[in-house]
Amino acid sequence: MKIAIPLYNNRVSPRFNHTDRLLIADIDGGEYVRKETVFAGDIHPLKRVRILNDLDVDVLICCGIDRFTALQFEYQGIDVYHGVSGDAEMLLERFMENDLEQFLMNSSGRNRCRKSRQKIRRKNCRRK
Amino acid sequence: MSHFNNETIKDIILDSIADGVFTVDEKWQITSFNRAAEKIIGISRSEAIGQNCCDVFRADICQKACKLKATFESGKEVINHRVNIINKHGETLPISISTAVLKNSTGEIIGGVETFRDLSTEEILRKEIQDTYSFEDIISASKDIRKIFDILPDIAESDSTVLIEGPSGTGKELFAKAIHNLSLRNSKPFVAVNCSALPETLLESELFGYVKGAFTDAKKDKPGRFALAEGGTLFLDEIGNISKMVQVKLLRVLQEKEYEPLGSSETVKADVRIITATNKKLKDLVDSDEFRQDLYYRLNVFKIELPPLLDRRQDIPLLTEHFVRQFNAKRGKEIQGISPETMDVLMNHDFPGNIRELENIIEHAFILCHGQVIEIEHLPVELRQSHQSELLLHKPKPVKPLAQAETELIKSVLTAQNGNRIKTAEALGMHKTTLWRKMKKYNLL
Repeated sequence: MKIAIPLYNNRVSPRFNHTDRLLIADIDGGEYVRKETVFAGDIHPLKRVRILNDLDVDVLICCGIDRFTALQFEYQGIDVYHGVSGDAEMLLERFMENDLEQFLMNSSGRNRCRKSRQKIRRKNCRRK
Repeated sequence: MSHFNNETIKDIILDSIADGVFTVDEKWQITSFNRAAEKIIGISRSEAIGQNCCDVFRADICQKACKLKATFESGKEVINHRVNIINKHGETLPISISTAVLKNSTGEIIGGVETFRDLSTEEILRKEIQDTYSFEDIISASKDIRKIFDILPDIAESDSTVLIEGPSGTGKELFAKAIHNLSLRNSKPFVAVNCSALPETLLESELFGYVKGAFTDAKKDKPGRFALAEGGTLFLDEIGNISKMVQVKLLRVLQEKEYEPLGSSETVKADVRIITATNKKLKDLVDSDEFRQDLYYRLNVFKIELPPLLDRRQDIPLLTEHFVRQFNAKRGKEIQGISPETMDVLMNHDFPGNIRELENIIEHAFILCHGQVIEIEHLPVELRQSHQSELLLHKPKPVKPLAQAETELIKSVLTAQNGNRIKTAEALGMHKTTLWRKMKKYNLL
């Protein structure tokens, strides 16, 4: 499973669409497989969505994200936890321990969605 | 006042201010957060206090151009600086901020204060007046629309011509703007022309411009829309309505990337991306010989088909909420929303006029609604009538008691069979004894 966190220094960026860097963590069975930082730059929200989709990200953990971009992630079948603040590494650990809820401001920040057929299809294509 | 401590008094004062106010300590942690701030941002005071201000405020300037930080460093106040924030619901809100430092009695900086005012109403009106809607203003949770957004970056980067087909009122121009904004041409102009709004001769001069003396009223050179859109994007709406002559000229620009303004013998190079739109099926116009096939293929390198609102009913509540907010700003009202029954009527309507029709319905309701909730009686009469007919169609007819219905049926068949009970029993599909028993029961003997 791949998790993305937009970065502001070592913390979660306050605005997903205004961050330069994204932490991408690949985890399997509660263990890190790989961690990398991806440069996002000053690009359009739809291109950001595209980058994460191309990286095969399953979950985005972020703080502020506009509804337009969040809906596009939902369409791509990427789960979005928004309104999350704190140290990015710590939040990754919490996520792996299934203990992220306490870091959601106002407990409203989750756009859960099942993986869309398109996402699954894309993933299958990549595996081939 | 003696029973109030200083903190309580400070909170009372802050809560009495109509603008949002928060204070931070020197570590950027929020130390107070007034009621207006709770309302604008949507985060409660108890949640906000102790948090880093950027995690709560979520402004576009937080990471790279924080005004409070600038005030800390320079000691200078910032007044009425426009930024945008994201509230708890994911809505992007334009606000105006002012900042100042907080000092203790010895003049040492101990924190900062930021006040902010919601400019959403002004922003709605500004967009309305300046027509500066962007595609982020397209409100849709529909898969069909999201699928288009998914491929939009590829289309935008390709620099190919794009044909947008869709019924009137589906937002074709917004998608054209989206493609322009995503393209490498986004720093250059986006110029829109409604081809059906101009007669043939005017359209030609409007598109290609003219030189002095080209016709009687041509007192000086006038650049056309192609020239105005140089380096950028030219959006030709209602392309299906252009004449054969303009079709030929347009084909030449697409093929040769050059044209001559009216009355000029000089050829002008055109570096313009063309996006066209139509509410007709352009292929049908080609088949009926009203549109040149070669031009059709030039324009139709990539086609986007926008679905009618009927096919994206799930967007009706979202769009309704949007229009209510918009008309509240325009009309100075405070309508909270629409009743579930009214939403039911809208959800069952087919919207032949698409989103524009929904907008008109909400505008109509705003005129009649003097309360806080739009009810069915505030909807246009045709919509109410069609809803009532719909109800009547599906309303079960009044049920007669079984005994009464049976009596009437037996009577009518008996009359039809001239009182012959055997034939009546046969016609009713029952035994003659059963018929006799029922006649006795209903006093028909």
